[in-house]
Amino acid sequence: MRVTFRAAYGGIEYVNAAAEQVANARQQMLSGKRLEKASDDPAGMQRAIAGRAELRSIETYTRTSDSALAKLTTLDMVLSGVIEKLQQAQVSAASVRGSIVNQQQRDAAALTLEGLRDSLAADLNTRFRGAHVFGGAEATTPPYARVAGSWVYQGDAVPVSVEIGAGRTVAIALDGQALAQGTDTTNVLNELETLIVAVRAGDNVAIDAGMSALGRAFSRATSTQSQIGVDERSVSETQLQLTSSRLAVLTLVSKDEDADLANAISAMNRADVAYRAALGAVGRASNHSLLDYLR
Amino acid sequence: MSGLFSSLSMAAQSLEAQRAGLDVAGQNIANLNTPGYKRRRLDLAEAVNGIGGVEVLGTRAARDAVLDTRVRTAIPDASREGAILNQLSLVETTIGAPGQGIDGRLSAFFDAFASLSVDPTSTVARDGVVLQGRELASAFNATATRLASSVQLADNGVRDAVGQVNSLSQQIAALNVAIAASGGTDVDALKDRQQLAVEQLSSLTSVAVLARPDGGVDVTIPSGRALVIGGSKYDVSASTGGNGLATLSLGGADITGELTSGTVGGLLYTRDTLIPGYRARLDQLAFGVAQEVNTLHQSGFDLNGNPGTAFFTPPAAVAGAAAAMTVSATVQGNPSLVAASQTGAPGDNQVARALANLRLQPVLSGGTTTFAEGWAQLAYQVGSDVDTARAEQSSLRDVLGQVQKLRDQVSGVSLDEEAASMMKFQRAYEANARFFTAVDSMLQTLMNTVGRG
Repeated sequence: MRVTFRAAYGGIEYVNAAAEQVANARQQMLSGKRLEKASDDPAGMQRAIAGRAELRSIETYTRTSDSALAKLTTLDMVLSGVIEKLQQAQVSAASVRGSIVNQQQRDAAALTLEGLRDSLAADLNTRFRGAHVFGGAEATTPPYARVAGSWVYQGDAVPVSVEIGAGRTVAIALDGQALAQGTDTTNVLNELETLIVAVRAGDNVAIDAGMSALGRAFSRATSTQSQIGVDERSVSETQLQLTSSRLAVLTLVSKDEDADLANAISAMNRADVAYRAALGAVGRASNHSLLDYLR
Repeated sequence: MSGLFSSLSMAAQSLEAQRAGLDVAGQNIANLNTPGYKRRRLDLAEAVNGIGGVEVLGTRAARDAVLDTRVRTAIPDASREGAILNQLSLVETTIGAPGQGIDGRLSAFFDAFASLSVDPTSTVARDGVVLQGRELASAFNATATRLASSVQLADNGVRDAVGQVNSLSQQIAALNVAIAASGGTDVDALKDRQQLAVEQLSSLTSVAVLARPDGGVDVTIPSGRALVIGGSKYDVSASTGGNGLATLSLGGADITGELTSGTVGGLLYTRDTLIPGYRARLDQLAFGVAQEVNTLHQSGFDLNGNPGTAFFTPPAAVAGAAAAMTVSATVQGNPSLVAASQTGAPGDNQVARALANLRLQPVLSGGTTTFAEGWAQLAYQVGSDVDTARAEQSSLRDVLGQVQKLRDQVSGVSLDEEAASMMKFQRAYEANARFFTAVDSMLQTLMNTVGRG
């Protein structure tokens, strides 16, 4: 075989190829990424995009569940207040039941009940970030308003829920009527109005009826609060699952996207050796020829 | 029987022959780095002039027609893949890293609807939806623009390459004329240039070469249409077609579809097949997003309780949907028109939830693919095409390199060989000079003897 000048002195393409490998390995080490463009690993790119989308979805669920938890905590606190006020109203009504109570005591109890009624109405009209939470989907209108001497529900029965995970929802706004009235003929605020009149009048039969209505409202409130508690726990559990899922997806995405530094260092060393060898081979070719031995 | 004067003549002729040998070695060394140069060999023969000695028959270039043909046919495929790789490397930059391209913008857009579902009465959340909608539309617009720009770059490349084809055809035709005019003598330098020009032409487009009896070559494209016939060349012309792109014609016939290899073939394939394929996928994705979002948005009610309008300006057709994508001007001007409610109640969030969940719905490709998967498929297609072009180019360059090495073994110049050749002819020259001196000395002796007598 004839070894020509081009064969002996060529080889710059090998030097370039080795230099490119060094640059690629160096880039991976600097950026920490093995997937910087689609052609680095097309299938890996496809998986990484799907993984990133899933990651964003999990992060959205996490944010939504944080907001839902804040609303549920508010609902829980308000319901605790409602329950306490219903109990106080029952105690006030019971204290003036019987025949030995004088008018002054009945008036005092009626005033207490009026205060509790107003406070309860305020609770049912609670707003969170500007939206009423006991009016169903009618978030901008106060759920309860006194119209012509009677308390009227202005919300609707549409529950408002949010996704806290794939296929998992929790209510963040409640149907106030289901809480305040349930299957009764009127809502607890109107029941309190009737009870206040009965207390002032010393009408024991009406007081008993009013106390029964308060008892049913109490049951509905405690039941609703229990459901809120279940939802709060569900949100907390879901958040734990989201954290685990996020970690799992992140690990998968990282396998596709991130450089294995040990491998990158090893690859860079190999590329560096190949580069030096190529440089040496090309450089050495120019050192000797027959011309050096001719005199 | 020859005399001393004949010996002197023979020695002088031999000295001339050895000097010619030294010239050939010098010529080869001078052209060590000349592209297309074929090493020359000196043909010597025993003289048949009656007095003996050596005769220079001439010099020949070391050519191997088979290997020359193999090199010429290997060039276009490697060039084609190189052109595809160069163009797609630019296209690839439009895809970006995972989560940083349109996929990231899609996620942010649907995130904004998720935030709105938590606070359906919030005007701030509505502003966020409109903002992210605009960002998404901008991302689609920018990607469509970059792909359109890549098509234009490939087209510019085609036009440049056509100019080079015509220039090389001109060179080959001129060389044909010069070779024919030389009458077959001292044509090796011209033939080297001719072959180099043909190989450069092959890197632009595959060509068929037919040798002419006068030493010239006729060159045609694979379909048989002539680029060069003897001293005549036929220009490829690039005219702008209805789509604004170059249409190539030769001899009045449209040859755009006939040039499938070489740089021109690679550029045309990228311009007419690969990038339009990516644009079609992008348009389908944009059309799907606009259509699905609009359908859900129009099924709801805005913050004022009025029926929802189209969120994105409805695309007229799939083609061009990415470039034309924009958030409806009325929604941009009044974010309270963003529909989140299904019932009309301001606190209802069912439409916002449905829109947020759209990211998980397989709505593309006949209900089998999500938007993120649609983008991932486009990214995969681009990455895979670049990867394939790179592997093909590498493989074809290796093949070309191997064939070039084989040819180089026949036609290339070896410095060691030339050094040995120099020494050989130098020594032969010295020996012949010594012979010349000896004969001259004998003549002197004879002359002196005759003179004394």
